[in-house]
Amino acid sequence: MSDTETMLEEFGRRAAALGVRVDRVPDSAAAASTVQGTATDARVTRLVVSGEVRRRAPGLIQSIEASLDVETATDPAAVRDAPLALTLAHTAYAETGSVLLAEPDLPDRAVGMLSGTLVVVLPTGGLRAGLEDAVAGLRAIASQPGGGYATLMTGPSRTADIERVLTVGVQGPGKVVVVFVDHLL
Amino acid sequence: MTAPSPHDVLRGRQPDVDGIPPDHDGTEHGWPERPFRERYDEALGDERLARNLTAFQQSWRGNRGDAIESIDFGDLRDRLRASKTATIADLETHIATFQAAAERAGARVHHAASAADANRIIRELAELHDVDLIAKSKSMVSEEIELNHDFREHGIDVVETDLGEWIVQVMGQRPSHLVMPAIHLGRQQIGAVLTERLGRDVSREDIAEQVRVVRDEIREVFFTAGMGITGANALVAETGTVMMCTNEGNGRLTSSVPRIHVVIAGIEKLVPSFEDAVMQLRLLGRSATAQTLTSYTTFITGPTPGHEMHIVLVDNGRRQMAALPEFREALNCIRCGACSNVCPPYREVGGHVFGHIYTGAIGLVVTPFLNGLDAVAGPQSLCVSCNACATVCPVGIPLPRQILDVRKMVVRKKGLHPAKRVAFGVLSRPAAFALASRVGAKAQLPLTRGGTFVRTQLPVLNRQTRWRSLPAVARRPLRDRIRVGETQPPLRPVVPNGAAGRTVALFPGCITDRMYPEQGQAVNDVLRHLGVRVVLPVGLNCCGLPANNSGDEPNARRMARQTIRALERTRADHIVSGSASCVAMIAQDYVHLFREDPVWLPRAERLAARVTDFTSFLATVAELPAGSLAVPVPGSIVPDGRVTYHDSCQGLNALGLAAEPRRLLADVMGLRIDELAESTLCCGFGGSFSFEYPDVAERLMNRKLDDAESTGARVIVTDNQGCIMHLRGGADAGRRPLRVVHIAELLAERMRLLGAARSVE
Repeated sequence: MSDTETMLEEFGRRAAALGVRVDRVPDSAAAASTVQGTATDARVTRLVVSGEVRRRAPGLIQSIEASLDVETATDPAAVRDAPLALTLAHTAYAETGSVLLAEPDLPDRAVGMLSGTLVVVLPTGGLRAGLEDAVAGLRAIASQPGGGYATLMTGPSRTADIERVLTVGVQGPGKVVVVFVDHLL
Repeated sequence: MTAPSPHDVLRGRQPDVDGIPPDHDGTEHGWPERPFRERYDEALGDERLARNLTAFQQSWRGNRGDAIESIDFGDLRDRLRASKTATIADLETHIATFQAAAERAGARVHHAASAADANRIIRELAELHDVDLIAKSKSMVSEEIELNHDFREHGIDVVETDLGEWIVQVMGQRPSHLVMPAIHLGRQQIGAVLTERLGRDVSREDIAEQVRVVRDEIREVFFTAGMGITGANALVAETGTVMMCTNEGNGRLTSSVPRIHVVIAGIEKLVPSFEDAVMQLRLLGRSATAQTLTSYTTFITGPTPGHEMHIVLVDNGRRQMAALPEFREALNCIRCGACSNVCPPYREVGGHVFGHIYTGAIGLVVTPFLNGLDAVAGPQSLCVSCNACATVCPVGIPLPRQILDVRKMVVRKKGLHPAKRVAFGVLSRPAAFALASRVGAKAQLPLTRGGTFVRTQLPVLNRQTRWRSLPAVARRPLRDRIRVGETQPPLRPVVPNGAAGRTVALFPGCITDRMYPEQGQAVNDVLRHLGVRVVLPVGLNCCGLPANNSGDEPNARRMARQTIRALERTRADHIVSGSASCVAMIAQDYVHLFREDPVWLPRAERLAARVTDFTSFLATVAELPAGSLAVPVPGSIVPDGRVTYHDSCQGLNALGLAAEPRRLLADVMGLRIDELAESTLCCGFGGSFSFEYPDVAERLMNRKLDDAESTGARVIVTDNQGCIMHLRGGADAGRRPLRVVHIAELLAERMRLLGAARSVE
């Protein structure tokens, strides 16, 4: 197996243990199919997307728009409790099954915070092995003029505050889907 | 009926649900401030509390074990400890670096010398921006400074947005655990409170429904609050970044949606770089909730565009701690709460008793500096000194030793209990102790009727003795059975071993000497049958452990000096004791006792290097061959060849013994070991602890004896006389079919048999 495949396998194992669905697809059209399938499962036709994913993956958004009502996040109140949302990850880490969300703007951040089901896409090349590989990225994000806001998201929102019984989906997304795209356009 | 808003919910009267009482003064911080003994008695009466906490501790231990399999825990712990220690040593530099970077990114950094300063700074920020509602994410520092109370006094509403925190806030309580704030509550209590507060029926059984209800109550606050307050798990100096770990997602919303974001953090949260932060992450989630990472690990550098960000760095006693070598390492704490998760007394009474605001072992250590010595005077006395906390601490804080140092501070301020004053006064004077023992041996005869237990119930000590028989004082102490100061010649070795020809000075310990001399005799005989010369040195008395564990430093030092004088005179190759507790005291605690004494410190260090426990001696020096003592013994203590092994706390947690005794039992003696369900859990003795807190000691003892009975074995083997005294007493009083023996007794019966066979040949 190649390094990428090994990392994908570990990422998938770690993320699956947390209840995250992980897909690897060849291109944006296939990624769009995954998003559409998730929408069908959730019985929704509306998709809120971050400004970042619209800017960085216009081909993907265009493919999705063929079948879903796509709305770009503009403020948190508009995103509040959106059933389905899509955002772009900076990188992902096999060691923990985490994706790194870099969200300087509040509307983009709201997409990852306030939706019910969150689909995260990123280029397959953005997958790294261990958390130490996150250091350079975190440092770069934090060193931008005006700072930055980044989150290593590891599974869905959860709590075990009552009698240690795990309940998924509190203030953040209750379902997370991660899609690695070999050629993300 | 219109459902009340979160503000209304929090303004409601205090509940009285399922035994959780209302506050004595109606304030949200009133419950934990009731007298310690009152809280203790009430917690003991709450069977559900201990049941919940027992289930929590048992599952955490298993899950945490799984979680650390993917890392080298010891290596990471040592590296994080070194990093944190170096950072604390140069704290002001790192604070300055952090401040400069954070302010470059647009945040404003404030410095609070005290709790009052911190409250004032944040309140003034709220007033400046006309904030009347604040969303708050979990922050133990905010609990420490009683921020919510301050806001309420000034008419500003604060809503906790972490689910567990919200529940305890609504119930007028404080968190009972550093990361599981509502772990002391059951679903029925929570359902009842939600039903009463919200004015609609909420399930008492369906936790998912309860979570949904609370989630919906909190949700609106993020959008209406004018300020969000969060804590920090680390402050990354190089970039001025705040690292925050949460699971629910409330921390991200609290730090993002309200226009003013205030971070409140203790100054000890500084880490130099992202490399250090990642190192901390690898240990924090695993140690706190047995997760590799929490769901959200957020790195915030500067404000959200168009918002303000303020970072309040709180001292409130931390610089004082940093200046004290004894306590400095407690600033390395990453607030994972692991020390609570293995603490036996915490399991029985919970964090509203075992701690003040910060709960568990770390709470006992930091509270004197953050909230005053009086706040921890009662809780610290509940520590059983089992050392379990030190084994799971991800930054290697010497918590057991620091708790004893806090205990010594309490004793210096409030004095020693009169009974202990008398007891240690006698114990520390060899002639008086010898006289008392000999008088006691005779005076007890009407009670013992020549047996090995004192079974008569004394009304004045009913709570202490109704559940256990006390040991009789031996009529012939060990010192009357072995010639003191005279080297006994070796016997012909019964098995090939690496100790033959060596000389050992025997340190029996005072309990062995005066109560269980047959165990001391067994150690002596085993050593001699290995071909070792054995001498019982002149001048031995108690090692000082009982006084040290009670915070009586003067008498502990007095007995330590007696022991050092007696043992340093011997020229033996090794000093061996059959008591794991005495060895831990001599080898580890003496050096701390004399840390500022230029005369006695080097003597204590030299002695520490020579002392070893009996089991380690057999494992590392004698190296008994496998199967060498697997012989049938007529009339054996273990007729069916099955035993269970109780790891004494000092043996396991202080000396690190686990494989060694099991090898002796299974490999060398050929016995079958049926392991205890929770073999690492304390039996509840703890010296005077079992007299001060007999209810907790009884529960822990019965759990251990229940577990032992469940194994099917009828013999409990251990290496510590305190455990033997406790478990034997409980087995006798409870008429349980269990024998409790020292491992030396099993070895001795085999060696005597082989020795006798050799003599016949």
